[in-house]
Amino acid sequence: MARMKFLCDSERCISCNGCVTACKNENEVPWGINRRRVVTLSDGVPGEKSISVACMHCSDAPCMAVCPVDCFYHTDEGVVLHDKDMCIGCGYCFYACPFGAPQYPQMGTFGVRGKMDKCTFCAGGPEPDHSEEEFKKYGGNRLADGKLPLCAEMCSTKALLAGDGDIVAEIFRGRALNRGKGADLWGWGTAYGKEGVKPKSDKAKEGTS
Amino acid sequence: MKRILFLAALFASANAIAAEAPPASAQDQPPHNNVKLWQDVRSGQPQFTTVRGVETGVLIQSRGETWRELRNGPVTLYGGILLCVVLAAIAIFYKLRGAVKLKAPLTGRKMARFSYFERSVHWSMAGSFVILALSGLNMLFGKHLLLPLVGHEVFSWLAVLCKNLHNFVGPLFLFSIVVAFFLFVKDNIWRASDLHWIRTAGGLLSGSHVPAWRFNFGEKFWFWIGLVFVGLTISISGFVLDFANFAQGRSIMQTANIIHAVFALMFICMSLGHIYIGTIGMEGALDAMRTGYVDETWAREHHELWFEEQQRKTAARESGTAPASGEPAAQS
Amino acid sequence: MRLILVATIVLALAGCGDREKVVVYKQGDYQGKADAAPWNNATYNGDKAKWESDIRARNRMQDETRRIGS
Repeated sequence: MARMKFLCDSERCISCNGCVTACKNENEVPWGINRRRVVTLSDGVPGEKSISVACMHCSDAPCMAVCPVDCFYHTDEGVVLHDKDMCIGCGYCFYACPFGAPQYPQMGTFGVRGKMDKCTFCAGGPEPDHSEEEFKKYGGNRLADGKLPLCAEMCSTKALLAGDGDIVAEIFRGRALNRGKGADLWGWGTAYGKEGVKPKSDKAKEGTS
Repeated sequence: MKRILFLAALFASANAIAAEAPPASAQDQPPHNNVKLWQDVRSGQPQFTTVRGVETGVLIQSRGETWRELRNGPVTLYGGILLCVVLAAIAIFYKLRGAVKLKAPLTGRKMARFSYFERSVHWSMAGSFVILALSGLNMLFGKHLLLPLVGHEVFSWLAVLCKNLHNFVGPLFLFSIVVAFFLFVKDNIWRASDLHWIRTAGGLLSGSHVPAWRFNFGEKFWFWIGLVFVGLTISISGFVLDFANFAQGRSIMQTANIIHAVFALMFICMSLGHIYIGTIGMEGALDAMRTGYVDETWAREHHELWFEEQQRKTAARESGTAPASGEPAAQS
Repeated sequence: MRLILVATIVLALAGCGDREKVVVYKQGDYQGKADAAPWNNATYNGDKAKWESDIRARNRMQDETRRIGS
């Protein structure tokens, strides 16, 4: 059985935020809720990299472990989903999640948490597939259409991959193998030192000085 | 030879400079690996993101795992054990020692112990505490105890009720604590007789008579440690969790949650002792808080110094011009 | 001698209190509304094999080198 995973290739992500927009559009999430976000590291300096992050659908999900009402479940495809009818909005999953995936619509003046909302891997929730309630509560259900999450499928540089962990890993492995050298190739800098192998022109310069 | 030495020196210095200067400036080449990237990812420091919100720039916040381990592990386990042990200890104590009975017969003469306002504050504190304790215990242990009994649907419905009650009753508890502090602080100051009370453990085990003022040391301990220290700690950490709209980060809420749970469990254990001695543990104790009056025998046997003080006051008032009225004298 | 023996037994028994250090991937205890499998709907009519092959095809489509033929 497939085990659904996301993978963001930091070498390819150009922080266009297309995935964020796609997610909002596909699932029509309420105002103030961001199931997916793009974080840019070393912003504006050499070595800048971006990573798109959402619920990672953990195998040992912390949210599931701490939920006081047990409203989380794994589907057979390894997608972590939850029942919003049961959710009490206590915020424990938000404390436990390392990725900041759980989101809460704020209700009322004192910031009382509403029912938790998070990435569903475009798999809807525990309502009849493609029903009105399912779309209202959890957003679209692309998995039931034989499609993958929209964020990954419409990623322009194919930085964000989604789907069966084995296939995603295979694709990424192929990529890493095909990459030339230097930072692009995984493990290169570690194996050949901090500088890696310099281009030929640099070596020629060193020789003349 | 000289040239080689010079070159070597140059090379060494260049190396030294390269080693010292971090590749931070825009001219430098980025390192040919992603070590810094993944260090930044794991650092938990906020990075750039266009998504607005609290801590949206943090990719991975690792402390949640610590919080999970603590809450699901020691706090639940040892907290549960502690509660059971305290309950068992109280039950055993009651079995062995029995209720503290009055030795002399009742006189039928009543004296005022708590004013109407004092009792209102006490019961609003007690009432809100019971609601908070039950709903809080349900949040921590309900999944293991109640959920298997009633099922997920009913339990979820109950948990929503508990959560909202907890969130809205919490501020009332803090308010009553603050009022109670100012109301009772005067009679909870250290007196010389408290030392004797500590030495004899209040005569709780021996049954010997220990004189006390309006509040004995046991009550003072409950006041200072229970109500003031633990009560305020719970309230403040609870406010951090309750009002999530002040942009506090996850780490402060994780810490607050652990503190809240640990201190709340301690408070519940202490309150069990308080409730025991205030109800079945001592004859006539509940009447004091229920009606505001105690029998003179009770006052003499449990708070002798206070009793004598009140007798002197009454005598002074009766010898004066003001006639003794049926109204309870203000205890402030 | 007896002390050493007792100490050895106590130390040896201390191992029994050792907790499992391997992470156990525990499934949740969710018993709420049942969620239909993604192939149990109008689109697939319970044809699991077709759904799986569709998803796999979609999955592989993400590999652009395969798509253009490297």
